Amino acid sequence: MQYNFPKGLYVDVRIEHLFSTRIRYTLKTLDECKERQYSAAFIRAYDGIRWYYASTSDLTSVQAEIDGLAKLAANNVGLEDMPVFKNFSDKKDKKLVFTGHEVSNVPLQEKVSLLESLMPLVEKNAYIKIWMLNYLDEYKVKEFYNSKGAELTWDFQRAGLSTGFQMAEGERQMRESYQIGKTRFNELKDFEEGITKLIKECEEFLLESEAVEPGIYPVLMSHVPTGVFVHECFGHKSESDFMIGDEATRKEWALGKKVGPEDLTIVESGLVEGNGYVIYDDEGNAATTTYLIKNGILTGRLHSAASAADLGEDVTGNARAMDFEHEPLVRMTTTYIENGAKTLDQLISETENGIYVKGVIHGSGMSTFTLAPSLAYYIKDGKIGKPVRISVISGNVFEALENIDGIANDLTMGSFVTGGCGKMAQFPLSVGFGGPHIRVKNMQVQ
Amino acid sequence: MINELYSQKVKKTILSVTNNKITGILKSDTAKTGLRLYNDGIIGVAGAIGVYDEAKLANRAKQMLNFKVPYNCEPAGNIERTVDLSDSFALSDEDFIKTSETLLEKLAKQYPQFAVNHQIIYNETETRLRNSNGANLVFKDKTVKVVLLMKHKESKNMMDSLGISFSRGYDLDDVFNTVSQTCAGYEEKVSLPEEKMPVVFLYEHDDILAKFLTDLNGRMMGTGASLFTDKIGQKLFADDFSLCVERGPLDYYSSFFDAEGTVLPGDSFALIENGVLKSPYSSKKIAKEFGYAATGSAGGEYDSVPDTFPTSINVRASGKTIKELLGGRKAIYVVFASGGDFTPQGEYASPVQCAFLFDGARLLGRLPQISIRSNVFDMFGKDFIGLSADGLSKHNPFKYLAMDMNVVTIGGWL
Repeated sequence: MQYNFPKGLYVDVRIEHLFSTRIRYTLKTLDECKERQYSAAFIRAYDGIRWYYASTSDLTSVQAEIDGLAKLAANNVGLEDMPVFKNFSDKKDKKLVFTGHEVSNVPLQEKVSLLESLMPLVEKNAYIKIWMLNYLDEYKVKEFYNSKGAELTWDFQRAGLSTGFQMAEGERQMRESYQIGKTRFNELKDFEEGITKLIKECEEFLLESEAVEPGIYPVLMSHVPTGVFVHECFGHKSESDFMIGDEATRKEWALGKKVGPEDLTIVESGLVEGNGYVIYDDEGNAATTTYLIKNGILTGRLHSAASAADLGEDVTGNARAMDFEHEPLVRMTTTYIENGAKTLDQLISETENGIYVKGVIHGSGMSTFTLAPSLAYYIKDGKIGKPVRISVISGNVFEALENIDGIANDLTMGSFVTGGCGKMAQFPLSVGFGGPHIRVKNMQVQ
Repeated sequence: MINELYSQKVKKTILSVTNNKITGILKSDTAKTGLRLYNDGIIGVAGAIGVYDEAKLANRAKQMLNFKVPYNCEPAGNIERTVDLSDSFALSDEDFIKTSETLLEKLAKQYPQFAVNHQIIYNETETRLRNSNGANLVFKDKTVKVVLLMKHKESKNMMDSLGISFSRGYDLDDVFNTVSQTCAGYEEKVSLPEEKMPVVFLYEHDDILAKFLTDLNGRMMGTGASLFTDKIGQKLFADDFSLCVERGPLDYYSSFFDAEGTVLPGDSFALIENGVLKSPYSSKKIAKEFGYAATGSAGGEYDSVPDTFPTSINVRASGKTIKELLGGRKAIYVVFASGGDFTPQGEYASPVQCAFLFDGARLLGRLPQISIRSNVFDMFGKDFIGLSADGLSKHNPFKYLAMDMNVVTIGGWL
């Protein structure tokens, strides 16, 4: 694609061609069945002081949008000498890794039939009052062109199944969900085994759970809660755009600082195939693997071109936009804790009076980290005990990493297709996360 | 066969704010259209972004009819109404940017200890629903939304306080006073005086109302999955607690019709009235399936089959100011509380990241990290205080929602 880029500005054009499917059954009734398809573009111009952005669904108007932004911006002859300029991509590449496996080539009826085949798994349980089964997919081809000569084309794909259900027995209520997310349609297996086990566990939870005795507990987290913990409690602090011009946070999160136990290593990578798979970011920089924490020491953080220039570090391929209507921000891709040395049994047996969180509805992390569990249990005298209802688990983010006092050797990545990460006004952005079982002491449980 | 066009146009200018400076300007003008075909109790929908060929879109919607998505109720018909609030004030893009720059400079000058970040949004919206059944509904609006995250320069947090203004117009002094409300008293630290006391929320009412938003859904009620199933007609809450779907565009900044074209008599529908549970909220489709009233609660994306959504659900205001409601008691004013939730049984807890001690008129000082706890029946029952008639600004729709809650200190001042 040839665009006429004005002199004295940095300009880039990101075009996305999207195909997506959403199918939803609620209680055996098909209540959503749609395919969406569009091509659209986001254009950025930078004059060294401000960014100017436009988005359009009319690809024939891209040049006009470039020209319009150029009129708003100031010509800057010294732009090429600015540190940020060297961080803008000049690569030429084409990587379409999903060619031949595009979900857009799978007939809609085949996707509907797949969902219908799964209905017996949820429809016959006496306690389930309402259930939903969803199929979702997305195939996106992105093109990227800029005034430094970059010309890139790459793709992204995901497909998945999810179910959400609500159980009730008298006044007792229980809601839970289950999902698997893959990158290819033909990989959508193993749903049956997972949901069957979960429903059985939820039945017991519904009938036997008691309200938690509020207090301070050590909390043992399974893989997905660990993933939410690492994403919310620490991952967002590694997004370095919030450090721009902020001495206090730079000092707090200085590289080389000890922030966790020696066996804690946290990794961020756009190269893990899944929800956070980003061949190139939305500034045209290639995905990397970044060790955020190695052996308890802060060793890296995530960057866009601008944040890397401001902090004098290298770009990491983490400038991501939710879609063609938004500008790229520094965002996570796939974030996980590496394996520790202990077994899950050891972590349980070492815990005298704690909480085991198996499932999670949501989490958040600013100054306070929070986790809203769906399935949780007491741990008493080194054994898993009664199921327990918890509204929220919280802790101070500046102390939580130091409070990790046990890491198991059973790293598992989450497998998602719904939800995602929110930042500024951009939600949901698909991300991946996971980890081994970890135990965190001194958490507030309510 | 009935055909229907449902479209949402949004023209916006968004200013990105970093350290009190405008660092980015985004301009976009997007139209999204869904074409729906209704035939013999089924619906087919196809959508487009931007310019579209109606015949091609209709053809795609016709193909979707083959999947037989049920929609066994009458589409909106024989109703025409236009509400145009987009000319309620004049503001050029240049004046919008200039006023924003002045606002940020004024904040930097008066409160130099804070770095101000996030967004200022100038939004023009147009929603239309037109069909061959005689419905033609148009709602146009124009607003300025200022959402500024305050970061104390000595703090290691990503944000320490929050200022929001949402209005039809851009009055610099009013917006300044509104968004900087917490800055002046921020340095004054006060301890939590009591363990059960009034808690006041100005923003994020949806978080506090979350149990109603999930469990008053018509489908949840009708299937027996709701905490409130079988309780219609029962007095569950306080005498002065009423919860309504409010679609009055002027006061509630809401389109007067939902995604199915339902227009409520008086633009309002009571779900809970004087503490008595009257009705769940429902789209027409769900209302018909379970025998409820349609409450103007259909929503969804432009290209979706309309479904039941908890839009525009509000507590009815008491007619009293927050000072009158508190009656001389001190309260906790929550600026933001993120991450809390209700359990399925209705128990609620949340950490509070930023809160002040409040006497109904003034912020008396900043509280340490606290946590709030209660349950839905107490919060809106014996502990309910009310929704105020006043807010921070007469130009904003935000009002104070107050109730007694259990409060504990969980940490120091960050």
